[in-house]
Amino acid sequence: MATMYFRATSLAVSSRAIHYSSQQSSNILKLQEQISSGIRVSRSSDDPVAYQRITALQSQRMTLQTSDYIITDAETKLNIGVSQLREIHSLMTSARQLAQSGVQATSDAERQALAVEAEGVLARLEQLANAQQSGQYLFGGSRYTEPPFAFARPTTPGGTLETNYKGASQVSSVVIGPGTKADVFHPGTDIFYQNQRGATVLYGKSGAQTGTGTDTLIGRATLQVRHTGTVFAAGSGIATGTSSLGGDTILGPAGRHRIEVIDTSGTGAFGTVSLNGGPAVPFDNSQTNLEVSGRNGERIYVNTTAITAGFSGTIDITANGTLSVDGGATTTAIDFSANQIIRDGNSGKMATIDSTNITFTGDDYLEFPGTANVFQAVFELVQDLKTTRDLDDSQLAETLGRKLGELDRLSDKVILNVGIQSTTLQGLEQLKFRNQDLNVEAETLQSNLQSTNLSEAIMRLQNEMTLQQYTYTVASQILSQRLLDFLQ
Amino acid sequence: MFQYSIGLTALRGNQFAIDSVAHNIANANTPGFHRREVMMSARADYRIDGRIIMGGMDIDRIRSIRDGILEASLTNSVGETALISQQLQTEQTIESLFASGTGSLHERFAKFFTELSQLSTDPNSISQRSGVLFQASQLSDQFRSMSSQLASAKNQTRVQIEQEVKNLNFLLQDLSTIESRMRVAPTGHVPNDLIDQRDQVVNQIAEIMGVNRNELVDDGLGLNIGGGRVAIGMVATQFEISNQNGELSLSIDQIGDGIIPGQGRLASLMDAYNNTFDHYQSQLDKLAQQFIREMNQSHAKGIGSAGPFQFLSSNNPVTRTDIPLSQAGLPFPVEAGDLYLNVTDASGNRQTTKIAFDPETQSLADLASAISATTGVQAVVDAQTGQLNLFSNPGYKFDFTGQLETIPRLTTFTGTSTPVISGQYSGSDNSQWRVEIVGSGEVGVANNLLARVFDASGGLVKELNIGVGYEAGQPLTIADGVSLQFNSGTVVGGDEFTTDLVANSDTGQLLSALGLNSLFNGHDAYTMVVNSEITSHPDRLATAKSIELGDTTNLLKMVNLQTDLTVDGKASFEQFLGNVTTEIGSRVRITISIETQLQQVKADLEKQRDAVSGVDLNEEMIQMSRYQKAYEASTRIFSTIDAMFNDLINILG
Repeated sequence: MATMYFRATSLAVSSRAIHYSSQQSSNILKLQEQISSGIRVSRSSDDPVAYQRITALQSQRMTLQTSDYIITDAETKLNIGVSQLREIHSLMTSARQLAQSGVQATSDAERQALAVEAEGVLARLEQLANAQQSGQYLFGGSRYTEPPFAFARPTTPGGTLETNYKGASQVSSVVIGPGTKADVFHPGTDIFYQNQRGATVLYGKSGAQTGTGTDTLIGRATLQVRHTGTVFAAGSGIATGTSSLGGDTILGPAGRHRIEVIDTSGTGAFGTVSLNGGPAVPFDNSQTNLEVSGRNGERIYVNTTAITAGFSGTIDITANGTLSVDGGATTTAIDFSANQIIRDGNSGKMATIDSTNITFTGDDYLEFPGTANVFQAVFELVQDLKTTRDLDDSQLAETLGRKLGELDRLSDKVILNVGIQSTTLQGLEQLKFRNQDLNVEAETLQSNLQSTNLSEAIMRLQNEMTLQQYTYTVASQILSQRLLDFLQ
Repeated sequence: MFQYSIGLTALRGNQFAIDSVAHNIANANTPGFHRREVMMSARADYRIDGRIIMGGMDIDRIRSIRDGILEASLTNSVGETALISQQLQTEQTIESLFASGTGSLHERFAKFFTELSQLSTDPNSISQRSGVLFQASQLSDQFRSMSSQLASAKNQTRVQIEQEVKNLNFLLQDLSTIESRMRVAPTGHVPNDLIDQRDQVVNQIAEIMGVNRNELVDDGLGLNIGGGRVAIGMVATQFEISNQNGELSLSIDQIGDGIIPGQGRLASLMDAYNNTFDHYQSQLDKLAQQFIREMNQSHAKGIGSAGPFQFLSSNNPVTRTDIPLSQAGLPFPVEAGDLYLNVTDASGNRQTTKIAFDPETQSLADLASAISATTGVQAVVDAQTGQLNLFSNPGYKFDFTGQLETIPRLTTFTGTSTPVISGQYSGSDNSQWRVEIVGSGEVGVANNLLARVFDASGGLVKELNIGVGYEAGQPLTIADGVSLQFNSGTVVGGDEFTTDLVANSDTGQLLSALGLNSLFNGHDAYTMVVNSEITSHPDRLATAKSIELGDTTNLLKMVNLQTDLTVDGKASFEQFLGNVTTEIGSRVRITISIETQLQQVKADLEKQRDAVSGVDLNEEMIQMSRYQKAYEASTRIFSTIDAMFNDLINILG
């Protein structure tokens, strides 16, 4: 049986040489590209799965780098915020010490000196409240483009520092990446304000007492108890003096105050009058504005020009008045009831007053514990050290004691916010480290996926080049080795 | 004397054989050449006067050495290889468009979102806002550029198809001519060179559109294309491109329905034109559409540092304002749902109005009427432009943030106290709360004064003490981040009010469909562009939900879109783009692999054909030597006969 041989033609030889040489050149070109650029996967078809992963890693790294920038920015802001809060806390500790010293002070001069120091603390606190970083106010929440706090000295006597918070109630966050944010600017109200209203305290001699309602006034206020009119029961002929309106210091419904009139002349020409059992005051029928004081120092002005002839007896007095917590701008008629609502016309806030036992006019002092903010608390401390209110030593000690408690609570709130922001900082720091780790990991993975394994590529290049040399040599040998040579 | 004629046949025959060898050597490197072989035969003996006379030799024919099956396989392989090679070119073009790297769509996406995140460090900064808008512009430019390049590549493909068809028609003309010449060849003469030429042309046709060839007797060849539907050969069939609904096919001699080639470059080009480019264009458009829609939907529900609006105009016009919106030609579908419109008065009091809308039954004009029923806002439909224009009345502003209304609806509330809602609703569903007052008197003063909060289904959410113990004006936490406060004043037992809680202010996706307060205009990759109103007023970039300049709530929602699975609910934008890139990369990789295999198969077939039909110079040299020796021997016949004659004459002499 004849054996079939495969006919190898010169065209076949040269075609094979060209075919394999082209293939090898293509491989060499690719390897050259890989070695020169250092990149193994430069297009999707090189390794589709690896390419997708590389693209995702590139995007991830870009996101991580941006996150890093945002974290650094947030850290800067938070660090400054924490630093300012620490100083605020330190100032509050100083204020607390001043309050303690005030409690122990034995003279007004000593307290005045402490007040001067406390004013310095307050001034610094007011500065820090509007601290900023690159034009962004640290304590304005999401409204950080304008100073969050405006302070004004009280316009009403005995009032507290007017603190106008113009910031937002919403925290401002930076977006670190999808689904990740960090709170940077906290609202000042969350840091410097407290809302632990306690029972309202009232110091005064008018007889007013706190009502049972829940007050809304902040810090402190002066309750002005004023006289608006006196009415005498009929029969005696006595009438109000020309200075009665505003001059009388008594208040109360009929019967709370009484005046005794004794016409010693029998014609109403002269006699004596006595208020609430106080000293008898002589009168005659020419007096239109006779001052009569009671045994507790209360006084009224009466007109004795028309005393009923022969009248001797005691008659009831009705003395009406008003209450005000805004320096008289808004007044409320006293109705001698248990829960009178007295509003501050400026702020709309109110206090409930039990006016049942109001007996005298005067200024009473209201304190609303647990409502003052950091600045108001220090301001009030200054006022107390300056003894601007007519309080006795025990009342002053009591109010300073309360102030100590408030400063403690407010200080705790500040330090709590230091903790919150420090925790955020710590979280950011960890996130930053994690991002850096992830970035390195992504970079490594990307490099592993994308970069050329140089030793492998060079060996493969060497191999391809050798093969190509063989291809040329073999083709050359085969094509040159012709029968013709042997025939010659 | 007859020996002379025998010698003559030998001389002629061997000379002819040497010519044949020379022809083979001359065409040793001619593509498609089939070597020739001289078929010799002995002339038959005959008798004259009882003697046997030998006739010498004859050249029967020149045989072209060919294997019909191999030729058919090779032609088939040529068509397949051309198809795949062309397909590879198309896919590599698309692959390069979808490649990642500097300036790529991948990078543009990443940069846009990182710039958006970075804006949160200072949302009020106009330069940072401009930075975001620049990246948004770069992103839309890249979308448009890719779309244009895909369209351009498709158009270029059409030009190529036309050129290929032209070439095909020329080749068919050539084929027809060759076939005609073959038919008129003298009987018994095999037109080998014409056969070779025909094979060459057939393979060139196969490269263009694939050919099925069947070897017939008498060197005939049955050729058909288009899956056997069209026979070619004698008649110079002419192809034309026909276009039906944007899909190209071939028609023959201006008749018949379309033929889609199965092989060859045309098959690949037509597939690229009819399917491949459209597929990737649609993927790109899908990505752009989803991105525009989702980003606009988020953007529309926020406000910029410029705050709420006094005027807004829809950017996506409707074809008619009085037909149901679902039929009005909006670029994005609208579903039945609720639209929550916030209106803020000059005092900063904000109220929410819920507008229920069904696009299957309501028109744009109906929507305008519903909006105009809201205090402080008017909606006007422009029938000419098909746009919806929203205006606020003096002192009012509006938005679609879904922020809590500051003052609830006090329709049955008679007290002097003012209830105020505050906070940020964190619930996941839209709802409505009803607050019922129990007891009468002064807030914070009276005893047994309660506010009971009920949800939409009547369930008690919270009971709040607003009597003694409650400080009027202080917010009381209800639930889901919402607080309620009662300012100083009185409340009356039995009074009630309601407020809307909005998690999604546009459940029917009406805002993005209409293009109200949109960040991007357009509806696909080519038309996508940043809204020029936002570009010229960067403070309208809606980063916030509130008027606070540092509010980054909406910014976070937009940034979250980077990783949200928004495309078909399965992939983020970048993942989808990555998937498309991987898909085309995989296709290229597979095609390269197939092409390599097919090239190998083609090379093997060519090798086999060369083994049969190719010219081996060594072989030819041997043949030449053989015929030369035979020729020499033939000449010796004459000298021998001559010597024989001389000897004979000498005998006579």
